Amino acid sequence: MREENSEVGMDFRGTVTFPLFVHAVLLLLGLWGCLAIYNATVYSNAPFHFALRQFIWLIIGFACMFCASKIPFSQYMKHAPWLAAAFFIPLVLVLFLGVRINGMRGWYAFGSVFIQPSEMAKPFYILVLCWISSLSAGSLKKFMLLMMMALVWLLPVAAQPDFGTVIIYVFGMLAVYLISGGSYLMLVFPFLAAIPASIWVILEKPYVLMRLKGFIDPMADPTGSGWHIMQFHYTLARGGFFGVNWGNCLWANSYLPLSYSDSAFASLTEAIGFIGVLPVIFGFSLFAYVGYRLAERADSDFRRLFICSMTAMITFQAFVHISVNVGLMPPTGITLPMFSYGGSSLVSTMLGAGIILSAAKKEPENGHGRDQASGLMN
Amino acid sequence: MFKNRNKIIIAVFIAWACLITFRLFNYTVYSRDHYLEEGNRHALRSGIIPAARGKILDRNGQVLAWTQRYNDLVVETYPGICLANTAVIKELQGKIKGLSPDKEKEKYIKRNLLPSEIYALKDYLSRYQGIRIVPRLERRYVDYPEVRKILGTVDSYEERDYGVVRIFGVSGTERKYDQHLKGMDGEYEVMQDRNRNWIPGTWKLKTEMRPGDDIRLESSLEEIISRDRKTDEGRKL
Repeated sequence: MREENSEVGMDFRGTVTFPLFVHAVLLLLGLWGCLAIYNATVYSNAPFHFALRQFIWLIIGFACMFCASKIPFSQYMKHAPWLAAAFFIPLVLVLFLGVRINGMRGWYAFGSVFIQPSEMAKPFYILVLCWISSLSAGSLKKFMLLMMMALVWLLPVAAQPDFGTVIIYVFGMLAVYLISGGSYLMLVFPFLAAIPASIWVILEKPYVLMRLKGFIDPMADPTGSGWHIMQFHYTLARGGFFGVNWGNCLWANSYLPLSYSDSAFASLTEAIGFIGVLPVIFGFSLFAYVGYRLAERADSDFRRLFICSMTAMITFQAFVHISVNVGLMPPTGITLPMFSYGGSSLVSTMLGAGIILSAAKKEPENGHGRDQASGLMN
Repeated sequence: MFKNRNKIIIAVFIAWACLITFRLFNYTVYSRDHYLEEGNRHALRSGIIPAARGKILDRNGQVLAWTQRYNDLVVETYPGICLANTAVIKELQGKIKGLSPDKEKEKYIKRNLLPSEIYALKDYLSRYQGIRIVPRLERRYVDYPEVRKILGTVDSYEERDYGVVRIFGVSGTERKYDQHLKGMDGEYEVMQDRNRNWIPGTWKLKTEMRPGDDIRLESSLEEIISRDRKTDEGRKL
């Protein structure tokens, strides 16, 4: 084991290795997440309901991560289109067979278990984008192919409608393009395309404009559009430097909408304060750095691209969630990976981490991956 | 190329983390007091616990005047957040007999709710802020006109900020002993959610309510009646 890990490139005094470190950090974050969910629902009729379910998902997530990390990455590379198709089809079918929750038709219901395909598909979306990127060397061609593939995936997500996940998917595409050496100039086009798309969304979905107005001046309508923003401010203030302690989060339980998912960070801040949530911010930054170090030592461009893009997507999602909760961005409905309640998100994050670990391992030369990856980073 | 691009992304994330930390420090430490005060101002509501007006008793302890509490259902219909719509009002009218529009038709009122009717309203109250149960105090007297002359009358006014009705003496014993009878209102503080529902566990008593003192007259009920009749006869003669 040590021999294998030392190949990855980092060995902390010969005992703690990167994969072990990733497992430990994710386990700690997951358990902390369960505690945060209990804390956010402590005043409800069943305070252990969500936390217990999250704990079960954490165990399932660990099993998925372990299995995903054991499968050779060359297999992921070889079967990338088929894996992506296997996760894309449920994304389309959910529009017809799924159940509607909070105005979004994005879940499959199996009794009391709900599966969100747009969350589960994230690692395979990145995988297929990396595969597309490996097919073409030219910047424009690569950009067009990535754009088209991203659009195909974005349409069913937008139709649910789940605009929070759309943002994450768009970032995933941009991350793959940029890390694989794409031209900055090409980024002008998606930004130009975003202008009419934004106007359409604002006209079609008035609540988006309301959210923006509430973000710019929350005090103009403190009980309406500004409510969510104001409650974030008050919840963080109540937490203070040391927090009010677990189980005492009156504000998060009473005022914060979805304190166990969309407002998980603010809810956590109320409990453990500034000093308690600093490790969360530091933890996600460290996760990004670990991804960077793992990628540096990976033995092909395809692997590097996947590790970096997947890590960037998870970190981006975490930072968007935290930014919304600290009032840097308008509410988006994006959850905090590993902390927010939701089995699909948890399993998807751990599955992604498992594939990252698989990509970081050195494999005996079989030529396939290297052939595909040639010319990837132009 | 890869290394440079990846470094840029890591640098962006680190800068983002610093910005988040700075912002978080502002809310949790630097400007904390300001936001705490503002939050409390929006969430905390003061309320009055109206003091029960004292009874008026005769020399033998028989109650001549007392205060009775009733609960009325008020359904606001002006436009706003979470107000009951026509369908909900119809649904309510099916459950609460006698719920009808007031004179200005701005609200629907049903006076003197029964305990079973209050129970039936449980779910509606937490869902619509326009549906409220308003307590009402009414002064009641023994049914003797002779006694009413002595006891006098009361009037009432509504303190809109607190939604309570205050009773005060206008004439007779009610006015003479108003200071003793009225007692002292209590005051409480409670956190309310967006729909003005009380948040469980946040109710705090600020000032204890002191009920009004009971007043005992020097005459008995019979004496008051006979004295009044004699006076009337004297007047006739």
